Amino acid sequence: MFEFIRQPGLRLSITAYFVIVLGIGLLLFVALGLVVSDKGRQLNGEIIRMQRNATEQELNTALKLATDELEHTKNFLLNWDEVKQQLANPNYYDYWRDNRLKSSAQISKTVSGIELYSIGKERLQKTPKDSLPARFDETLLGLRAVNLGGTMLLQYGLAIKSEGHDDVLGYVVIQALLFPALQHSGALQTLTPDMISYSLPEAKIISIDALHTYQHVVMTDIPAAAGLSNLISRTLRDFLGIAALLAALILYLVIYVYVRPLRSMSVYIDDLRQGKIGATASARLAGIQVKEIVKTRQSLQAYHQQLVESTAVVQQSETRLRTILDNVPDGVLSVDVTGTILSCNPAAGKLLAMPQNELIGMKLADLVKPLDGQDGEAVAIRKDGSRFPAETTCSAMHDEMQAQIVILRDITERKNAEDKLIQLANYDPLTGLPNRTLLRDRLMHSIHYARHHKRLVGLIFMDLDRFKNVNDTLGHQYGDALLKLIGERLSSILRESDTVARMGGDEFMIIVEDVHQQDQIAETATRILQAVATPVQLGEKNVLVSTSLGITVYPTDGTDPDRLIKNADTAMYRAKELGRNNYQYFTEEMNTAAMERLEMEQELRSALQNNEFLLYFQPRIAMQSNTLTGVEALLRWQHPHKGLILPGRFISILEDTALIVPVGEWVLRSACQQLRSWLDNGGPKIKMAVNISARQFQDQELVNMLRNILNETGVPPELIEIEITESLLMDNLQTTIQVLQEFHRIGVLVSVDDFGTGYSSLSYLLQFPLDNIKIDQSFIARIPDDPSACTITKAVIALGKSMQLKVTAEGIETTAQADFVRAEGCDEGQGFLFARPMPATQLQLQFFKTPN
Amino acid sequence: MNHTILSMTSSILLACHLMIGSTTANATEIKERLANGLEVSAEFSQGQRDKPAALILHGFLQTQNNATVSNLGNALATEGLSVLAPTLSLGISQRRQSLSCETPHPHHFDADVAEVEFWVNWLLQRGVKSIILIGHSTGNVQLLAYANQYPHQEIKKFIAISLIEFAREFGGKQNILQFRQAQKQVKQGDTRLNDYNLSYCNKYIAPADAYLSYASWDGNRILAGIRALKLPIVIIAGEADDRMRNGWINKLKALPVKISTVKGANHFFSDIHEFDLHDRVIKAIAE
Repeated sequence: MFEFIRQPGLRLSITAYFVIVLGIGLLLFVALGLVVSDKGRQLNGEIIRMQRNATEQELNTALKLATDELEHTKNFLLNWDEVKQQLANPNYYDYWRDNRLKSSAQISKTVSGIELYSIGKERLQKTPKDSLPARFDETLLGLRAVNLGGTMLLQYGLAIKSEGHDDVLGYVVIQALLFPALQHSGALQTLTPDMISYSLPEAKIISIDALHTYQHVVMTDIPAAAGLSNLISRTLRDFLGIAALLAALILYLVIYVYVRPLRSMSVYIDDLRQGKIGATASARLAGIQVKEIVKTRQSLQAYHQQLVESTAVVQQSETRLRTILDNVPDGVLSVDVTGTILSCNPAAGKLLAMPQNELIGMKLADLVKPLDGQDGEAVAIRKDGSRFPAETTCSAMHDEMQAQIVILRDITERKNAEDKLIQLANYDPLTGLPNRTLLRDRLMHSIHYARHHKRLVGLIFMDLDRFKNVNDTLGHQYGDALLKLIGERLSSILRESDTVARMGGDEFMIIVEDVHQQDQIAETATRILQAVATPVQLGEKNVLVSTSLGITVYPTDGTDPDRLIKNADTAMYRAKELGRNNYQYFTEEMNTAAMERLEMEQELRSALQNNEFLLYFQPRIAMQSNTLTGVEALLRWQHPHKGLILPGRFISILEDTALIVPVGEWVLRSACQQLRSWLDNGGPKIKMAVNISARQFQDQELVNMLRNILNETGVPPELIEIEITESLLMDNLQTTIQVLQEFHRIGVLVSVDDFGTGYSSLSYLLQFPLDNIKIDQSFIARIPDDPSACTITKAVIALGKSMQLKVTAEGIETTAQADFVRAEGCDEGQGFLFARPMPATQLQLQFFKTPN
Repeated sequence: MNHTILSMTSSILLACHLMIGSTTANATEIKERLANGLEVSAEFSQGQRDKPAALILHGFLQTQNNATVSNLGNALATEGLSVLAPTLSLGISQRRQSLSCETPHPHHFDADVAEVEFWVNWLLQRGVKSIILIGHSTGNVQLLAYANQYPHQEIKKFIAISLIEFAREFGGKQNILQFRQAQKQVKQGDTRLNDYNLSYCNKYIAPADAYLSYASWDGNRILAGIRALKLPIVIIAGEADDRMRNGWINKLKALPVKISTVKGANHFFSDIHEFDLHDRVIKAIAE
C-alpha cells in the first residue's frame, strides 16, 4: 500500500509527509498537556496567595478611609457653631437634628448616626431610634470598634468644649456600621461581606488600631484551577488512543482517495498537452468519483476547450491586424535594437519606392534622417535617391527582442501648406517682398547684430510721390504693375544683406544692414531715388514717378524697431514737405514739428465747432477807375491761446486731414452770408472771391454744396468768384473741366490763382470755362526792376486779353507796380498798396459809402 | 436689662496695649464671658487717646468678619481711631460663623442690644471719653434701639450705613398674617419653631417670640426711633442698594437728618465704593 511513497523526482510522497507531521503533532500535544497540567497547579496556589494579599490590603485601605471620614466629621461638628447652640439650647434639638444636621454637606455618608449628649452626659434625643448609647461614658471617648450582637460598629465619641477653655459644653458620638462604612469609603472593589470574618467577641470594645487583628479575609482554593491538571491528564490519555485510530483511518483515506487519483490526473494532463484526449488516463479518471478530482478534471477539460477557442480568436485578430497594416497609408516598420528593419507593411515599401522584402534587413537610419530640432520630423530617402519630408513616430513593443515600431508618414503636402501660410503671413502677395511683419522681425535681428558688432543700421521709409494720380488716371491695374516694378528695381539695386519690404499702398521700407558710416545709407538713398526716377513704361504710356525718402539710423535715432519706423516716417514726411523727390535724415526737430503739427491738427478738429475761424476780406480795385470791384475772402484762425493764425500755417493740415472740406464749406457759406448782409444793407454790388482747394475739388458734393449755399443766401451767382490754383487745373484735367463746367452752368465766375507759377498748357486753358486770371505776386514783386518779371507780367496780361479774360494783379505794394500793370491794361489790382486783408466791419467803414 | 455686664477676662496683650497707649492699628481679638455664661468676642484696635473710639456693629446673622465691617474698621484704625467691632453671640458661645437662616433662632433682639451695652461699657472702663456708633445694615437697628435705651453722654454720634428695616417687605399681606399668627402663638405660650420671612431670610426658623422681637422693628418704628434720638445721626446709603425698597430711602430723606448717598454703591459698598464709604465715614466723624 506504500507503493506511492517513493515517487520519481520526489524525496518523500504525500503519505510520508502526512505520517511524519501527524507523529510530531501528537508528541507536541502530549508535551503541552504535561506542561499545562503542572502550571495549573502552580497557578492555583499563586492566585490564592495574591488574592489574599490584595484583599487584605484593600480592607486596610478601606478601613483607613472610613476612619478618616469619621475624623473629618468629628472636626466639622466640633467647629460648627450650631452644635454649640444646640447644646446650649436643647429645646430645638429635634428640629436641628432632623433638618440642619441631615442636610449638612459636611457630614460624611459613612456616618450612620450622630448624637449629642448634655454636660450631664444625658442623651439629647428623647426617643432613641438607633443603637447609640443612652448615656455618654468614658469608653466612648476616641475611635473604637464594637461587636454589637453580630453587627460591627465604628464609634467616635468626644467632648465639645468652649473655644479656648476647658469647659465642656456637651458630648457627641458619631457611629458608622463597619462594612457599609468600608464600602462608602470607595476603596472596596472586589471584597464582599462573606469574604470577611471577624474574630471579635460579642460586645467587646476594641481600639480601632487593633481592629485588623480581629478581621480576616476568607479565601478558599479555586476548584477549577485545582482540577485543571487532573482534567488535562485524563484528557491526554483518552486523546492519544483516539488519535492513533483516527491517524490510521486518515492515512488510508489519503492514499486511496486522493493520492491515486492525483497520479491518474497527472497522466491525464500529459495526454491533454499532447492532444490525446480520451486516452487511458481519461478512462481511469472517469471511474473516480472523488468530488474534487471530478471537478478538477472538468475544469481542465473546460480550460482546454477555452484554449482552443482563444487560439482561433487570436488567429482571427491577427488576420484583421494584418489587413489593417496592409492597407494603412502610413508605413509601419518594426526594427530591432540595432535599427535593422525586421518587418514592414506594403505602404512602407510604397513610400520608400522599394519592395517589402528588400527593406527587411536594411538599416532604418539609411532610409530616414531625423531633422535636428524638429521633433518627429525627418527626411526620408526613396530608392532612387529622391527625398521627401516625413514624420516618424516610434513606440516600444516590450518584447524580448526590445523591438520598436516606427510609423512613417509622408508630410509633403502639409509642409507645402505650411510654407504657403508662412509666405502669406510674412510676404506681400503683390510684390513678393517681405511685409510689415517680416520687416519688423528683420529689423529686430539687424539691431541685435549691429549692437553686437558695433555697427549702424539704416532704415529708409519710402513713399512714391503722387502715386494716387497713377491709380486715378491709369487705373489700379497699372498702379499695381508700377508697384511691382518698383519693388523689382529696389531689389536689384540693393545688397543681398539689405531688406526691402512693402508696408502697404505705395510705401516701402529698406533696411540697410551692416553699415560702418552714415554715408553708406545716403548712397543707398541716392540709388533708390535714381532707380525710381527712371521712366516706367506702363502699357502704352511712359510714366515718370519720383519718391520721397525718410532715413533713420540705429542707434542714433532709436534703438527699437517701432521708434525707428516712426521716425523714418516723420523724416519721409519732411522730405515730402521739402518738395518731394529727395531724402531726409530724421532729426529730433522733425519730431517736435510733427508733434506740433499733431497738436495743431487736434486743435483744428475742434476749431470749427468752437467758432474759432473767421474771415478777412482784401479789396480788389479797378485799376482804371481806382474803385472797389470786389473782395477776396481770406481764412483766419482765432486761436484761443496763440492769437490770430494765418492760413499758411494750417491750410496744409486741413488739406491732409480732409478737414478742408467742412472748413471750405464754412468759408463759402460765411462769405456768401457776408455779401448778402452787405447787399441787404445797401452795400455796393461787388464780387466775392472764395478760394477752393484741390482737396475740395475731389469732393463730389462740391457743386451741390455751392448750389445750396447760393440758394440759402440768395446771393446772385455772378457776384461769386471761385479761385482755383493753376496746379489744381493741371493735376486732374478731366474732373476739373467737369466741375468748372458745372460752375459755369450755375453762373458763378472762375478765377485762376497764382497764374504763371505752374506749367499750364495753353491748349488746356482754352478748354476751361474761365473768367479771370490772377498774376502771381512773385512776378509783381519784382516789377519794375526785373525785366523778365516785367516781360512775363506783360505776356500774361496780353494772354488774358486775347482770351477775353479779366486779369488781376496780386501783391501790388508800390505805386510803380500799380502804374506798370495799369499801363499794360490790367483790369484789377490787389495788394497792400490798396488795402490789407481786414474784417468786414473795417472794410465797410473804409470802402463803403455811408448812407448820408 | 437682666444682663449684668461683667468683664470676666481680658487679654493680657490688650492690657499691655492700653498701658503703652500704642497708636498702631494692630487689631486684637478680645474674648469676654457674659453673665449668662455665653462667651463673646470682638476685634479691637487701640487708637490715639485724643481721638474717639468707634464701635462698629455688623448686620443680621453676620459676624465682625463681614468685609464691609472689617475693612471699615481697618480704615478707621489707620486714621488713629480706636475701633471695637464685636460679634453678637445670637445665643451661641464663641460664635465665629455667620448663621444660616434655616438653623433654629431662639435669640432675641433685646439680648443683642444688651451685648452692645456690654461692649460700650467695656470701652468706657478703658477710659474712652468719646464713642461713635457705626452700624451696618440691620446692625443699625440694634444700635438705634440701644442709643435710645442707654443714653451715655460719651456717645457722641451715630453713623448708619445701609440702614434697612428688619421686617422685609413689611406691609405685605403674607408678612402681616405671619406677624399676627406669631403674636397669637406668644399669647398661647406656643414655643414651637416656625418658618418666617425676616430680613433677607425666606425661611427663618424661630419660635414666635424670638421672631417678633426682630420683626416688630418695622419701618415706622425705626423712623420713630430716629426722630426720638438725641444724638447727631448721619445716614450713608448706596444708590444701587437693592435692599432699600418700597421708597425706604425717600422716607429716610424726609427726616431732619443728614443723608449721604454714594452713586453706584450696593448694600455692602463693594469694590471701589468701599473707599467712598470710608471717606464719607471719616468725614462724618470729623464733622
